[in-house]
Amino acid sequence: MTLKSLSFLLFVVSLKDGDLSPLIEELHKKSERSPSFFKFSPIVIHVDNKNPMVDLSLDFKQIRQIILDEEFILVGISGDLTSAQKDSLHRLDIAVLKSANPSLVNNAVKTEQAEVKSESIPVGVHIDPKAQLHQGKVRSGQQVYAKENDLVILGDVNAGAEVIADGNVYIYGVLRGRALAGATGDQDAAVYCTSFAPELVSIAGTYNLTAELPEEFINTSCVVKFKDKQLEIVPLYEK
Amino acid sequence: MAKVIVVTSGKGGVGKTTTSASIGSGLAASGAKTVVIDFDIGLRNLDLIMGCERRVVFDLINVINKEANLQQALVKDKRIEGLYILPASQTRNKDALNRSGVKAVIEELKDDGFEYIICDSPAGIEQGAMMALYFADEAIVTTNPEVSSVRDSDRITGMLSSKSFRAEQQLDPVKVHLIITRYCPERVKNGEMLSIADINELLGIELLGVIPESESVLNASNSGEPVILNKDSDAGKAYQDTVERLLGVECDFRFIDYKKKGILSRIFGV
Repeated sequence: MTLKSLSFLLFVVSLKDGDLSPLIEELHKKSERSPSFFKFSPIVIHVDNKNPMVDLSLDFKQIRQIILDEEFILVGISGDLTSAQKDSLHRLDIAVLKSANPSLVNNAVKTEQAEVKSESIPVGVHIDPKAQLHQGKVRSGQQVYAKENDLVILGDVNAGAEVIADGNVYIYGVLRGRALAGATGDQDAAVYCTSFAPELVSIAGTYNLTAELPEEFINTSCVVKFKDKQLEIVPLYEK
Repeated sequence: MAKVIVVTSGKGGVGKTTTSASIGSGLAASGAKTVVIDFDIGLRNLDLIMGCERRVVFDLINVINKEANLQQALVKDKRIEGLYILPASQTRNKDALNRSGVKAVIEELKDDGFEYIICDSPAGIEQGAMMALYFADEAIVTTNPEVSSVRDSDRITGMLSSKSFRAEQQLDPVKVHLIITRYCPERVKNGEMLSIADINELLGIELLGVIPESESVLNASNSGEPVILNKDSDAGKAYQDTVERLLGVECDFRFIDYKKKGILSRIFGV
């Protein structure tokens, strides 16, 4: 058995101030939108002491409980921590992490990817930052699914074929078959295609059949989004 | 090096068997030892189209089940030297086919010096069709200029790239060719039929041949003589061109443009 050093991609939440209610809200929103994706996801809390708004007396025990209650797993705390904060973390058995990527945006609550050097056994999921690529036509009867990822199709999606992604679907070709984005419920997902003539398009479970689609978009380049509980189609390029 | 070529389509009645018979005859006539295997177990037709139904004793299933040897089951064509037919069983169904049995038959045919092994696939995407395409090196996808046929051809082309031996072993992919049958330039011009360009846009498969709609095809089937042997018919000539292309000879596509008949040809019928 050897001790190795590996890099992982983890979700990082930055705390802007001592108020923890936005953290609860954001985690809740994420886990509600795609429960299967976020359930027991490892998460890192970034504390920004340079921000004068930050309350230096953060209750880390409470933070850990909030994260557990929302069914996430706290990996550790990162940021420029004071020695008092480090001491309290040690007492609570919470890891202090050094981020290899110091330039975290200090939006109130923002998920970012950060590299974390860790000597422990791997925990949680690995998020592939690259979209899944399918080269060539997707033929009738074929199904391409990008799990927890975006999907890029370089070619046509023929009638009777199905392209599905938990994220966005990008089609550089004619969409004649079915395209389903946000398959696990992500309502921000969209379908992009260079020529639009689908059997069916769906975002986060809301779908439209050919007959329900506005005719002026057929055979044009467009984007299908989810807005106000229905699908909205807009041209891909400004006219 | 022996080549296994499957003739397939997904949809029924588009001309797989007619194509298998004509391509097989054309290849054999070029001097290559050729066998055409009928995979349509239970609905055997190839022997009828090739006019040898009265000489069928044993069949593919007998060979697979080792009830007869290959030499007993092969039917030699009477017209063309080096052309053989391996008929299907009429009394069994497609479940009688199994992968190891088909593999053994194809291996034995290769050892016997056959250069082309043409597998005439049944319609559909079930066991019979899968067995016919599994060991293919090349495929001839047969389609009619009509949406449902094109859609089914698209489906079967997808299966060739995922369900064949070559795909499973990640070898070079099966080389797919397209033959459009029952093409009628006049109806294409009137917008009643998909054009070659329409089909190409949907399928994107290299075009091997375009066979025009012709009475001679039905006549050929009824008389048990592959239409390629009818040198006077357009369909026969088009199949001959197709065989040439398969052998690597470049030739222009004929019978694909509509020419309005002049008054003289209407009167004299030429």
